[in-house]
Amino acid sequence: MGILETIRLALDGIWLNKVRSFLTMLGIIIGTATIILVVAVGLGSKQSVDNQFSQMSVTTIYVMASNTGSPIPTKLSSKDVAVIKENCPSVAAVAPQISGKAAVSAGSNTESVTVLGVTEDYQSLTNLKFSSGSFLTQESVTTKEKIAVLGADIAETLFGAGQVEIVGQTLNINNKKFTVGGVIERKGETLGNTSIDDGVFIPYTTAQSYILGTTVTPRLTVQAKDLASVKSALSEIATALREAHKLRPNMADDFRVVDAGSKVGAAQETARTMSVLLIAIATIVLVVGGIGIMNVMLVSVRERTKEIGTRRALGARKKDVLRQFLFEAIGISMFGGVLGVGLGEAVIPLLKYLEIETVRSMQGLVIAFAFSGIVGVFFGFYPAKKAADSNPIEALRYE
Amino acid sequence: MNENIVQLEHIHKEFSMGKNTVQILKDVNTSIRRGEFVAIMGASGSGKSTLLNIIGCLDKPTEGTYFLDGQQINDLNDDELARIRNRKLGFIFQSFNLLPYYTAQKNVEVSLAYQNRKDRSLIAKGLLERVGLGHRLNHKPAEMSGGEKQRIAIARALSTNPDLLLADEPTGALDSKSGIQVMGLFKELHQEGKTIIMVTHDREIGEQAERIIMFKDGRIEYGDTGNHSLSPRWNLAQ
Repeated sequence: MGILETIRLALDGIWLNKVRSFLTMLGIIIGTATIILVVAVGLGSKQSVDNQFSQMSVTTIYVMASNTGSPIPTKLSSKDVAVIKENCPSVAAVAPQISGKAAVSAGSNTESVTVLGVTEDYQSLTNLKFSSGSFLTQESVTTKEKIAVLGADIAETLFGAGQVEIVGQTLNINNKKFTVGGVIERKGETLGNTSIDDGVFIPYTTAQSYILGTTVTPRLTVQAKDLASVKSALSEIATALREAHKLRPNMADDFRVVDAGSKVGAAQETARTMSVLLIAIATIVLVVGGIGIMNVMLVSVRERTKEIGTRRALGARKKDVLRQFLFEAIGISMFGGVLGVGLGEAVIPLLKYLEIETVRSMQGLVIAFAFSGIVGVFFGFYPAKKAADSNPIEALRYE
Repeated sequence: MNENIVQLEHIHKEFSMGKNTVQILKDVNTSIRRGEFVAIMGASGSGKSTLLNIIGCLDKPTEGTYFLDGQQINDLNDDELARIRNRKLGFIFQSFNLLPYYTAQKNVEVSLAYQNRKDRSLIAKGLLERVGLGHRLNHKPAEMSGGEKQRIAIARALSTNPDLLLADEPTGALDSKSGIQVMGLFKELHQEGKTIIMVTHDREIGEQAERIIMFKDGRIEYGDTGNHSLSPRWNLAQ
């Protein structure tokens, strides 16, 4: 019997037992849908990690006040910028940053926003690009100029969408008049608890003098010379700061040094672990589904023993019988695969409501289909082989 | 073309039942000519069904040689045996063995499907008409009487135009009226030149055949016409 003919026979078999076939498919449907979702969520989280860190150089190092372990208040200050610059040969650039909430108003709009006091180096350290205007200059820092650079979102909130010329307009920060010097291109992502799109950037000195005061502990953004010097930079910074802060050897650091590379690595690691876990779950579901198929096929082979005997007597070769039952199993799992892919694709948009990042991909479809096919072949083979090998005389006699 | 469609020489068949081996067939020698209508009779357990299975290429003898239409069957592999069953033999069973989820017409088409015949629906319709079921093509076996089911089975057996029809107790599950109908069909087919081998334990049925081979304890008791020969008359070149 030809392959096409046998496929038709197998489809007949599935169709004549619609309900049973569908129930058998359920395991496969759920398994394939899970794979689709797993791949979509996996790619989504990978993409969001990539987005989050794409703007950030892996040679960036942050120095922050330690919030744990130290009984004495931190001595981390803008003076440490000079300390690091002088004592750390692996460091290319250092910039301090202080931040705090302030009331910002433009026209009738008043918002409570994060104001960041930074120096001119901050632009190159964080790879900022501008949709209009430019960043703070060294001069603006030394002269405590009242100039502000706005994140994309806050610029829109304060001045309204579609406003063409924001640069040059004035706004009030804690009732002090500032001129807008530039608007930063939308980054879309957050860095720790600071969203660049929501931030208002003013000169470090201005922030200390007029807005945030001198008591706020700064955070330092450090650029290592290259990727290879990140490690030595980390230890150099720690040593220099401990010395500058006059910490005795038995005292804990009053600061924290974190490199962006390890943050990226950790985030990617987390995303990967999650993917592996979900794939493991999907595989288990599919294997259980496959066992379901095998079970049903074994029952079916038993029920149809007489049919098998009759077909053998009428001229079916062993391989005709094998194919008939194998194709039936594959058919069930492939239909299950199709329905599962449909289900998975239908659920993906719902995940958006749960704020889970997803990415649709061909990759997911292919993996899901391949898996369902493999499951059909693998778990369908044994029952089909059993059918093919049954003794035709005994099969004919079977009641 | 061989005069003897079936030639059996020193056929032995043993089954092992645990430690014991049971001899079902003991040195069976016979031949059946083309066009004959033969009834194989005997008590149950006499070995007549086993012999029919061997003739039907469903079983192989432990010892001995079997020629079907001049072709030695013993050495053929499973696929070749399947092909012979499909092309040369037509089976009719006591319990009909129709596929329950197929219509009458589909059932008749099964053997032809294994030949990938495209004209099978035409052949099936024609044969069902011939056995008087032209009006029930699309009925399933469950909607039919025993006699009708057996007539579907006969149409199925005829579908490939086989050399030899093998019937195992064809009237065993039928009432006497249907049985007479089925036997009438067999006689018709015989008159048309078909070779029919029928196993039965019913003397009344068996006596309607041209020749009776009587089995007892794995041997032919009588009915072997003795026209088989140890020096083969068949020609391998054919």
